[in-house]
Amino acid sequence: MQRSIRIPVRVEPLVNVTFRRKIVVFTTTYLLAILGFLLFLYLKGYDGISILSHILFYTFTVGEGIRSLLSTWGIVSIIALGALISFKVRVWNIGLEGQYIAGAIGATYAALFMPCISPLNLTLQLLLGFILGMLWAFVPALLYVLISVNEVLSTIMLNYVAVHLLEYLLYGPWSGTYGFPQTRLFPARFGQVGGLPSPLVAAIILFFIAYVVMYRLRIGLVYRFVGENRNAASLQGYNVKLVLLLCFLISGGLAGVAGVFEASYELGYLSPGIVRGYGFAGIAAAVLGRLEPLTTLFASLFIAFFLVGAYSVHLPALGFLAEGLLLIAHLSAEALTRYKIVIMRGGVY
Amino acid sequence: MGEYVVEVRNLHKIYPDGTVALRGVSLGFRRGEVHVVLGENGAGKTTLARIVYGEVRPSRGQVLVEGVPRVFRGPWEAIRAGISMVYQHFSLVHRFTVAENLFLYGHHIGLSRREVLERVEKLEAEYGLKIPLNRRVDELPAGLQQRIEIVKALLSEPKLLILDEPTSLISPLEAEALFKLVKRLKEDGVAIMYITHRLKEVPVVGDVVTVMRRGEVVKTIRVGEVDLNTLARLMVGGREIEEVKRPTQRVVVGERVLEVERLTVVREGRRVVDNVSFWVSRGEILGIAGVVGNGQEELVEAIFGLLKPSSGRIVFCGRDVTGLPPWERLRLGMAFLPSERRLALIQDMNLVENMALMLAVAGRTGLLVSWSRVEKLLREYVDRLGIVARSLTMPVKRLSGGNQQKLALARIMALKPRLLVAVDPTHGLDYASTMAVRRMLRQMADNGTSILLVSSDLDELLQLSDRLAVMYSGKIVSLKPTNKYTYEELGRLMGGYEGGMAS
Repeated sequence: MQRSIRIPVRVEPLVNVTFRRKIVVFTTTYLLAILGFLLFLYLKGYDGISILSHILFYTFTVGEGIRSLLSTWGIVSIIALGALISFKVRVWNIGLEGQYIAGAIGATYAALFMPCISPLNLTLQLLLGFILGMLWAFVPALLYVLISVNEVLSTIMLNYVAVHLLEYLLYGPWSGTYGFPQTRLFPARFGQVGGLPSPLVAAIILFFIAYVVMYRLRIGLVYRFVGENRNAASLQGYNVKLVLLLCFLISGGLAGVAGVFEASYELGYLSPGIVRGYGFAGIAAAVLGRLEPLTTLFASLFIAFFLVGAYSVHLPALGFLAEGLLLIAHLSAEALTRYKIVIMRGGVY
Repeated sequence: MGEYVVEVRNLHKIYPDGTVALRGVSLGFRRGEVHVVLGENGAGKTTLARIVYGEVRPSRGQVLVEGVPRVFRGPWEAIRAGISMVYQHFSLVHRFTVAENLFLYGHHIGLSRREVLERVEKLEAEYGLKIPLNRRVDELPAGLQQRIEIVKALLSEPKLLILDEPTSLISPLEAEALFKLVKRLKEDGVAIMYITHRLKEVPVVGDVVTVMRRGEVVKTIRVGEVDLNTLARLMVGGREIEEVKRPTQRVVVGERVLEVERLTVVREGRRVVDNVSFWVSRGEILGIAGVVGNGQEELVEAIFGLLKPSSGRIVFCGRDVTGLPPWERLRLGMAFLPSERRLALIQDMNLVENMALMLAVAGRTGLLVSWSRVEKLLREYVDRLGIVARSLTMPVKRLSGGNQQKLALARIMALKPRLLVAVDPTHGLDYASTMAVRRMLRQMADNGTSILLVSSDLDELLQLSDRLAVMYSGKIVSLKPTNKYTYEELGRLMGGYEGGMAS
């Protein structure tokens, strides 16, 4: 033991966390995240304050900005719901990006090659998108449930496969006029519903359903049971693997639905432009929302604000920067509210 | 008495969660002597060993090495002071070769590779051991793995070697080899602390034996001066010899709710449940006694369907349920209360949700959960059982242990099961809650529920069971009405010592 290093710090779990501690810790870490964001902009030679105020102005007052914020909110929150559903049972499906692309591909197939009677075609787009999203999650899900293959790796790797499949289709069989990597316009597209973008309407409906299922129905109870304690659930005689498999698939399916809206509502065609990191944005939103439906819906708005804002100043990477910083701040805050760090003097125990 | 290599004086240990593991233990270990520490679970044997090995700090009391009081900050200091320990569960790196494991440990205690090899050669020569240096650990049988553990512990040339339940994971044949090795070490002047619950081993390896019970030393005596019957009595009954008292003995003759026929469970090549047969009648409490790790856990898991038996049948209410998954057994009326409350209840959910969950699992709620109905049902039990909770919507983890256990039982009572399989239902509870839980179990049995009760608390089994079975290394070694046992006999059976009947 002579050569090993011991750090004289000990981490102790806190039994009772006061409300005051939570408030203090969360506000401080979030403020630090925003300061870090501004510091980064400053180091790159930008005027952070004016960029932030521009983003605020654009997303909340300009018509185009509001419209874009609302539809992005809808799309990100549908993915966040997918993340929430799998994370709550501790299945770390990180491949939502790939499942989202698969969903967009499904929608495109329905739009271009299936009967074009508008309502029917839109239903087909949704259905095919959902199925393709599920299919993209199916192999990792099966491997995970049957032989415990680490789902983080398998899902994340399939993201790249999805991107390449998309490129193959766009440069190959589905390439548009003059060989541009872009399909022709969808004959049938999703539009506004009651003045709101359809992805947002869909998101609100889906969140409502998720809430009712989780907190009102018997299956929801079982679902939360499995999430809280798998061992106990199997001790009570539940088929835990089946629950995990279903959650994994639904999670992928929802990401697929988000892909349908991006292709069919936002763009109206399929192009490499749909790969925008929404899969990861959804994950961030679900974590910031602490895996509860209502809070996740609002966390998605927060994330969407940064994404849209970053596009509006032509610095899309800023959105990811904000996402990452917020995520780190949030996770540290969660840890710091629950644990106390003690500096040790003298002996080791 | 200055000749002790290691001595402990008046050791007390209270764990942070309030468990009292030791209450004033004083012992001494001499050169060239095997000192057996004998006791049931929870007697404090392992805590004692871990204090001597510097892994746990005593709340009060001293550890003296060659007469000098020492305070170890960790095992590495104990090792330098000449104390080594072999754990009950091996601590080798499975995917390393034997040599790599030894080098790793050598590095840990400051030996170079060359020194490690030299010492291994010396040990091989001295004790006639064969050490397959280049084999991977996970390819070796348990007995050999243990030998590597011992060689590892001997690398530091200790004055005191601690062996914690060394025969629990190895075969009888391998145990013979172990006993021989212990004898040779003793002859070479090593002091040995030999922890066990197996009575039979005491005369085979021991020179001195200390019987521990509930954190106290009952007696320390030379092995030649005591017979096993006395040891058995001391181990389970404490100082006084009292006969089993049961106020009322019920003879239950009803339909057989559960029948287990020639059940065998094989785990990692060992027959952990070995050809076990018994039955439980309607409204009967059948207790299963035994030191933890003799197959009780696997037996109940197989009965509830969590473990697949390798052979045998489980018949529940006249129906063969051997191949059914747990939830189907639950729906047929078989309930399971695991020993860990963390598994019995969902700590982050509230009382109502926990109740609803049980009903949902058993298929007693509709598709839509009616929270008001669940709450009404729960309220009924809360009042009847006197569960103290600020509100029904507080998370279960804020309840005291006793109230949690009452809630866990309430959930089961609400199902009105035909059979309850309960494991250590009063584990870690205070006196009042313990008694309350026992009353509840009795009441359930009176209302016609059969109970299969596995407990490491002998008093509990004697108080509750109508008939009592004793398990030892996977077999039921005895099964008869509870009032037909004596403490001594129970101690003998639990220690696996069948000879010398009658007292």
